[in-house]
Amino acid sequence: MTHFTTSGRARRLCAGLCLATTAVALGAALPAQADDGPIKICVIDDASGDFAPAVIPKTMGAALAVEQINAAGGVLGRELELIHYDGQSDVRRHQEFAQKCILDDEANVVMAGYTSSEREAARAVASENGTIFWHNNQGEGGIADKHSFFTGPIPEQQILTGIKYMIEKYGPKMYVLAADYGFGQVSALWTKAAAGLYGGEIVGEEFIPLGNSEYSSTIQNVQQAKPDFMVHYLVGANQGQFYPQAQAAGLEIPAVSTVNLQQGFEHLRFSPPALQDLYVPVAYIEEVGQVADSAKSFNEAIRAKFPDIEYVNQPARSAYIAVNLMADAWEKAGSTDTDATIKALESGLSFDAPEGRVFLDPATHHLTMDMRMAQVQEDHSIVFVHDFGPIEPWWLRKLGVNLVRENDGKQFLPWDDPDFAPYKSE
Amino acid sequence: MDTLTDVASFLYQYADTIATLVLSAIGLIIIFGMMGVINMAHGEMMMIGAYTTSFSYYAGVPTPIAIALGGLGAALAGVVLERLVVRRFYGQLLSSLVATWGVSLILSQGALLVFGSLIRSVPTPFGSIALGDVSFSIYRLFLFLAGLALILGVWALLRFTRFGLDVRATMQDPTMARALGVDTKRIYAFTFGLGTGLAGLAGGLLALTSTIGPFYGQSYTPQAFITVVVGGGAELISGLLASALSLGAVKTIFTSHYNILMGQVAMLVFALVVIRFMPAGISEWIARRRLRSGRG
Amino acid sequence: MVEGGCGVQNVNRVLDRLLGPLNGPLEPARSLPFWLCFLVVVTLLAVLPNFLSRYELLNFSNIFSNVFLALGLCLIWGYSGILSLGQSAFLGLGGYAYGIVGINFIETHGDTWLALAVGLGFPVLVAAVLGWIMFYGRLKGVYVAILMLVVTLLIETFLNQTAGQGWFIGEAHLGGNNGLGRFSGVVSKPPSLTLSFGESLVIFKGSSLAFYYLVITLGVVAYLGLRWLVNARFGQVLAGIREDPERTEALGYDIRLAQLAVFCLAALLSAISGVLYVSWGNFITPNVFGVFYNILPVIWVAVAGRRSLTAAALGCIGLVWLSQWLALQGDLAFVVLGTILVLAMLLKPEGVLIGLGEAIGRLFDRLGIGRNPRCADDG
Repeated sequence: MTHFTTSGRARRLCAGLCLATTAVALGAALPAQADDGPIKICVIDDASGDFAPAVIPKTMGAALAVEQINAAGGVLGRELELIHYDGQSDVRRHQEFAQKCILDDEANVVMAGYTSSEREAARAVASENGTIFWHNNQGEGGIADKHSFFTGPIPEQQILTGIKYMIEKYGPKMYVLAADYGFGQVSALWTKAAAGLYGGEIVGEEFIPLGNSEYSSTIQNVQQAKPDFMVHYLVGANQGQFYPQAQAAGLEIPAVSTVNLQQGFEHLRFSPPALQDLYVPVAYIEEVGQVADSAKSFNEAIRAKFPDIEYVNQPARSAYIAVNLMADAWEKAGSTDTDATIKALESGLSFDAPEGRVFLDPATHHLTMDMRMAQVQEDHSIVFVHDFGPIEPWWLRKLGVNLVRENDGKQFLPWDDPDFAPYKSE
Repeated sequence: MDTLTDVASFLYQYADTIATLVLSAIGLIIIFGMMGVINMAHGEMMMIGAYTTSFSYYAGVPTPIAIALGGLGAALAGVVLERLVVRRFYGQLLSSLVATWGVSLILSQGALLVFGSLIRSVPTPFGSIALGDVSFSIYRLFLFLAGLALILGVWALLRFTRFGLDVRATMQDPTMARALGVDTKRIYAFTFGLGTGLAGLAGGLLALTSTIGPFYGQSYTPQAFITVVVGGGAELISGLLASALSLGAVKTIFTSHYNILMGQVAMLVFALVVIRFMPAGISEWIARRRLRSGRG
Repeated sequence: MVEGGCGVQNVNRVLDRLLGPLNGPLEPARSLPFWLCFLVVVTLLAVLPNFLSRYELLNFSNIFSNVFLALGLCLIWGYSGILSLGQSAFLGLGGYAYGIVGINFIETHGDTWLALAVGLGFPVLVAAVLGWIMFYGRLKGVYVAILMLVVTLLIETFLNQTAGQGWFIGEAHLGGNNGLGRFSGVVSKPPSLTLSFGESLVIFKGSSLAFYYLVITLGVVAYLGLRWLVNARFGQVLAGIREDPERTEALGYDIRLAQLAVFCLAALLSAISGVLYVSWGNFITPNVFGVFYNILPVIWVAVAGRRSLTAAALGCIGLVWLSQWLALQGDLAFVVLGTILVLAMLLKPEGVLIGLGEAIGRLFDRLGIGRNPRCADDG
């Protein structure tokens, strides 16, 4: 029956966000605020369309942070103002609204993007205008840019840790299923490197077009290759169809995924035991509350503010961290001036995040964060089977990136690292 | 890997592909093929079927009845949709496209706002059978049979019942049908409801082996249209069958030989070729052949 | 009153003679009041930037640059009876072709004339091949629409998976889903239109006045040019094909060639929108080939009225603006937009703006302004 009680939630959220947005739209007609007006944080999050289910909690995470900071007296004696635009799961909307955020609202920071294409659409506008940009999702990593900051886990935090764990637990042979676009292709290369590093062997690799929802051939290919475990980089609702189909076909091989649970809370949406023995290295999922008190109180706080939130997912936590780090940076800089703020962000900030303490690495603009291995049980409850401890975003530094000194303004990919050469696919 | 397993595995994949094509297209072929209405809300009708199935299942309704309720729910939605919107657009193929696309926007985003995204999927019944290294989902095989049964059912309904006769008469010549005492308005509403009901039924059937959400049906819509167009309008049922068999064969062969991407590309290219050389679909081509050999 | 009305009618007749095919009967908006409005609107557009903020200017340029896509679709669908569900594919091809060539040659050439030429030429070439396949194969009606949909889905599927290391065309990395030039290596974003005229070099950045005036000028030229075209002999052949292809063919016209030509022209118009879009945002991803972006122009043209270029252009601007404005209001946007579409089609299946135009025309008739049917009788 719980399904039928959800109608009020969406409407209230909508009403709240609508009001906020309208207020902002009205405010925009006034002349630009002086330094004593509110500090503006512009988030472009999908509240409509395909990605909305995973992204709606993200907006709530940012809203919670803003509320808490304002309740504690704001930043530099000024209020924080959250401006939310619905990106409608549409790349072009992200482009347009990033421009609105920066040029019209004169926001001090833009946080946007669920998919990498949405991220790039908004980030292109932000870097063009020299505005600070945050991407609060996990991703393929490698972006080294003076104005861009990241709170989600990246390959060295998820893939290397996850593959090592699986090899030790189940054996060396793995079968890789990856979405056939940037994120999946890069993740597959990282997996090759991880296999090489930890004595694994890739017995099969399959790239799945985005939007594909038929998996009978894939399932049988996996069965014939007889791997010890599978590696999944399956993205989006259609690729999620793999799980019920695999379960129906009796494919009972454990798998590791860097995508599921933490964003789309598939373990609550799919009927058990479709995800049994899926392992996910996470920075955050709501169940981290079982093992960390700080996570428990974060869950309670966000549920108190948004009683209808469906799940406290990793993006909610990431947006929450991003807003808090920005607030610290503005305080530290003593102003909202972009250069001063970046300098403050690069001064070695840390924050007591829901899952544990995170540290914003000055050289790479990514977070050092606690990673845990979540295992899905038969009834889809979660058990944390391993605590990796804090993991640094070391890969860009290995390549010599130091954004404090030099702005690379590009995305590094595995083929830019000579140590990846033995693992190239093409 | 022995040959038997290979053959079985290929046939299973083939059946699986055909099942999806048939199920996603069967409701559309009634509406598009018979009524000349482009129903862009087709995917949303599948969504309504899947949602109803899931809600009923978790309210304690046995699975088969839950699926049937899914079909019924979508049929009702279809009748309402026909009464309110679609009936104004008979014979106006493209106006119907715009109006039903509007409906599709309302239904999908509306479902997200009203029900949220926590729509639990329904467990897949029947388990699996193993053969050599591979195993098959019995339910997916059942879907294949269900698809064929639906085709047969629709064919019988149109061919042997009074309702079917009235429908065919109305679609061929509404004025004449009306003159002969057929309540064409009701026939239109029923036919549209039949189409959306079939879509809902397909949505319910597929819901047992997929994850569902507000945009669940939209991924089926393009391939449903392609299946219908490749089939053509001369003989709906044989057209759908021929289209699903041939598209499915191309997709399965290329998928198992190369990969899924090649399977998709090959299917689309095949569709291009068919549309180019048999502009009225495979069914018309078959019909012409039959006519010619009949004369000769 | 009748006398006065006929006096104005005479003015109209002079207008018809003066403007020739520009004011032919195949475009409903052609009365004196319309042309006066037209002049006012063009003047307003010319002075508008003085009243706009930097963001509004940028955003208006963006909205207006869709007009060519809408005009192209209106031309083939409304005037020639060919519906395509893949017009945005030509926008995408134009954008990608322009971007790829631009990235490769902006350094050495210093301008983007070549990129512009390829960006406009390549989609037309593709349209010529597709058009030849379709029209010389006697493909009709909804089959053209679906075939184009299949084509655009094929391109989208292909481009989405081009994130790998191998997908370079010269300096330009296709970048898969992340967008052209935005994935591998140094970010090489597609350049803004950079045109050299003799000694001077003009860069049409998306936020610049130059870009705004370029879009407006091209828009007015395209609009007037198409008005002329549809009322000229070629347009009459097109209308003939739309109404009765067999008869038109029996009269000795090569309808296949005419269809092919108009299809290529529509692709060219889409390509203009594509080049402008990339030049505006220095960004393009495969999503422009998706179903959503291919349905959008059909919606604009159908809701406004496909039998009028004026309606198509205005409808495009109005609906792009409306859906953006709605998106700013919150997550009910799609629901409201959907409702508007349904209501529009229920109330005015031939198009809202056409209905509006007719209503205004009737009003003017009653007031004795504009075309007086009684005067038309003795003309």
